[in-house]
Amino acid sequence: MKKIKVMIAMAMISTLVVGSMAGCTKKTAVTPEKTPAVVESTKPVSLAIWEQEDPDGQAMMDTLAKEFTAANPKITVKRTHYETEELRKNYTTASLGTTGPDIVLGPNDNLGVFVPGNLVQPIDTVVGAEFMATIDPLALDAAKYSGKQYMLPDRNGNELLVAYNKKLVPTPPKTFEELEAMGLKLKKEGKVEYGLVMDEVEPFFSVPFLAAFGGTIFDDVNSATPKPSLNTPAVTSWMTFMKRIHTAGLIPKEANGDLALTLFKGGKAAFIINGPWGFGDYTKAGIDFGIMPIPTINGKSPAPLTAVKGYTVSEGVKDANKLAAVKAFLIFVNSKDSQLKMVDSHQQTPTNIEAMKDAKITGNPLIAGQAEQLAKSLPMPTITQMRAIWDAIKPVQQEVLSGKTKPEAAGAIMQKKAEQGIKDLGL
Amino acid sequence: MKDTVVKLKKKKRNSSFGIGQGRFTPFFFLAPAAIVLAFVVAYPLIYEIIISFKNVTLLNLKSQNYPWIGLDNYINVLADSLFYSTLIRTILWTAINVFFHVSIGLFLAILLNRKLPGKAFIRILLILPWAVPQYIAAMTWKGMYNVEYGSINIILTKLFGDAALIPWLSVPSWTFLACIITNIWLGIPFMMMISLGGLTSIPEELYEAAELDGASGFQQFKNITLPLLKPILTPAIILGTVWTFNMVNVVYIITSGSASDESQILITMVFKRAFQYFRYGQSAALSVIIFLILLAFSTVFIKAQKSDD
Amino acid sequence: MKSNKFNRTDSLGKTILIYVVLAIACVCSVYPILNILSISLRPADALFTKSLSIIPPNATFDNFRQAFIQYDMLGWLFHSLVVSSAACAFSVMLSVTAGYAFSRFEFRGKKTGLTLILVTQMFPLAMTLLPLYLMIINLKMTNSYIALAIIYVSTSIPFNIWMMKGFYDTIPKSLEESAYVDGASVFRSFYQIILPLAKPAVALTALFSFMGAWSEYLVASVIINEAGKLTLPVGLVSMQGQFSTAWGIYSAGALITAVPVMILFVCLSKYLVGGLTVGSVKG
Repeated sequence: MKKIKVMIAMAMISTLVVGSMAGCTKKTAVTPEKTPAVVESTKPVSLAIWEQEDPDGQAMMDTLAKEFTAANPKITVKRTHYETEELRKNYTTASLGTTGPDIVLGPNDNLGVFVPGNLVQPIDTVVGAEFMATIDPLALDAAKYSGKQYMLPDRNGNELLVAYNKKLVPTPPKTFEELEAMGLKLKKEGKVEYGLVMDEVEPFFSVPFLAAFGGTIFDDVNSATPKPSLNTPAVTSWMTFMKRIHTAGLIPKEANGDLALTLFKGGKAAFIINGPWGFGDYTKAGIDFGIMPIPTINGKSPAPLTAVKGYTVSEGVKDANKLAAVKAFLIFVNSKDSQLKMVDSHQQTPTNIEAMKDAKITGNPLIAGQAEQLAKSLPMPTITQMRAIWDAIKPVQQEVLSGKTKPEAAGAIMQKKAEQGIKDLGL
Repeated sequence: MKDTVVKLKKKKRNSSFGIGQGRFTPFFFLAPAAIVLAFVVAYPLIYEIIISFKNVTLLNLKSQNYPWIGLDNYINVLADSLFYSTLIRTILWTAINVFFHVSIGLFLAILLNRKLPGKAFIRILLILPWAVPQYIAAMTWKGMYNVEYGSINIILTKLFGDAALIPWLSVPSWTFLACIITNIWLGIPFMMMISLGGLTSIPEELYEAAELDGASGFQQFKNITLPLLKPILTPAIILGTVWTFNMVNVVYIITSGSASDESQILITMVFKRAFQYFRYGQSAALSVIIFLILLAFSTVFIKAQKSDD
Repeated sequence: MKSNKFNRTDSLGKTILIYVVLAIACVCSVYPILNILSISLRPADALFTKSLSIIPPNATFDNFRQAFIQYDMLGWLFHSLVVSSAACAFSVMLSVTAGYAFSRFEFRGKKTGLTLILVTQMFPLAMTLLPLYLMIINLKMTNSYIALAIIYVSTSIPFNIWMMKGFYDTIPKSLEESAYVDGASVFRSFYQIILPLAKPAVALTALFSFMGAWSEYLVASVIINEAGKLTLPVGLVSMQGQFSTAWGIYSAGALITAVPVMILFVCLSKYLVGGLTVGSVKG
């Protein structure tokens, strides 16, 4: 009896505490100051940026931030790095309070989470139409969500393509069948450990092949309620293909991105399916490499998913001074010179129209050469439902490769998981 | 805070000292700890209980206006067959881990509880796994489990030939075993240290007397060592069980985001629901259920220990 | 006369067997750590290799240097030191006192209290992140090391309280009672008599608390997100890119993370074993 009394008393006291806390949580409405557009910030402002760049990109951003602060002494820029999933998780958590970042640099599929969650504001009003006109309209399109411009893209690409070791492959193959033959031959001769390496865990890396077999992920990406279309013969062909090249020994028995990179950088693989972010690594490792689009299978081209990466502004940024600082920073960091500097780290096509015409881009076969693959690619769906798709494909692909599931059965399982996942998301 | 309430209701009663102790002396000793625990633990717990009755999705997350849906989240969890299969797997996971933690830890402690040259050095080597942060250990082991390039298979094939190649990471049942091995490696030092501490406090004379009476090593262990270790082992086992049950790092990392439903444990489900699907209400309900399960376990366990005395 | 170096009852065969078993255990224990070491010594981020050699052919310490050059490793170390020391200090203070209360005093709710303390551990920490974060926002303590330290204290005191209580239980009450006869107050006898005797258990408590705080990632990543204030685990994870990670530097960083704890172990190792009763202190 006494124990229960203690419990009740404790519960009451705690509820009181919680109640008062909840009272504190209600945000008082912030009235945005209506001041005329002031470009010069008069008070010192601190901007917080979160990003998920590779180490090279992080270093470049720091350099750009230093330049910016030198030109605008009243504005300090603080950069925090998070891995992609961490970034999403921490950003949504931070949005419940007031301590989140002002700007986030990330891929456009983040919009599928940020926009429905009401975490970001339209960016064209922040930077102004004049500046928007200096950015490639195709890239801008990809950075829209529900017709509104939420992201200012700074690079276009993120596509997968094939890089080949020129020493092992003097003339690149024209079809995938040729590639396979070359790879297996090199392995038999002992010149490589595996002909082709790629990340076999993340479906992002195998999904290009789905298009080569005529498959699609959604029935209609642009509809209000897109449904996954994974229970199709195309998916069966796709999974059969993956299992075949796995059993034939073209790709490693088990490989994540790190293993694929290690093997290619070490000269132990002839071909790698990876993105432009790897170019810097290959060069550092001393590999003389060339790039080519993923070659055709049965005459049909695989279509990797492209994305743009760019800047979003948090919904909570309302103060006029801060907005002016944000605008100044975004304009600076997307200017022709800054974008060209960033290209050194990500090796993709910039979005500033002037930068795109620069000889650094057009004259660089590693960047200009991506155009061929880009022409054959599909834009990655940015809708929230994609999360359910990835979660559905990933385990099934793993089971097909390990032999636990037959390729014919894979499509139905993927479809079921995807539908369940979308329901779980509450959509 | 809870003890404050107790103090206020306490009758004027002397403790074993009687001299020099005021009525509120225990209060002073306990207050700081109680306050910290109340704030840092009670508030989130109450919050989570409340939110488990609400529907949270990505769309309404920021507004903090979550509609009340009563027991729907709980029904959703309990009606899902995946919950039960994962629960069984989690119980299996916990039982196997704790069993090996305690038995191997105790075994090593007994080995070390004697005069042995180089003992200090060996002790340090055996404790090292504890010094490595969990996620780093998990990532290292994951690398070691790669079917072709991982150290484990390389050693196995060198010793037993190619047939010994184990697909650690591609077949879910092997992945489960891989997680268990890694977690055992991580957890042994703690149990070993606790056991060592307890063992050195058992007076030698007890063993000597038992030996004179002709008791075998095993009988000595059963009748002297185990009972005297119980007071220190019991809380250690309970905490070890709780920590293992809720061990998210190891499983999450080794299964690369626990994509496959067949290698998940309950806590990774919670994690995924909350941070990847943003259904905080559902994961709160699942967390409360986990909490109740652990509460039930420890109550039963403690009662069982007490009845042995 | 039997040699004093070995236990009197162990035969030579048994001793050899014991050494063999311990050797195997040591190898299993240390091998993964050596793995990290060899990755950190390898140039060019070669994460995987088919060779089993611990020291790779082109071993270099460059990765360790790069960890400090390319990343704010020194800053992270310092921040973690601050947080962990604070957590350690608070935790020791709180557990030493609370454990004493549970050991010496009789009061209503004592048994409930002891069990409740264990119960606080049962709710998954990952889930408490959201409400903790909300609470911290309301208290305007985001990016505060104090807040982080206090949260760490709450996860370490349950076990520490139990441990201290167990230790105190082995100290005969007669010690304090004689002090009372001399007129000392509870507080003074606690401070001047009991605490010095409790040094080994206090050392253990300090170790547990420090370690728990030093290598914790999840909570730290949510509470501290300002660039210049990251703690070591968060900084380490930030080295991972989406598609590529400088694994050599990362492994070097991982070892740097583990080394201070190992040093702490070595320093405290004599307490680590003798530690849990008064009897052993005299010996």
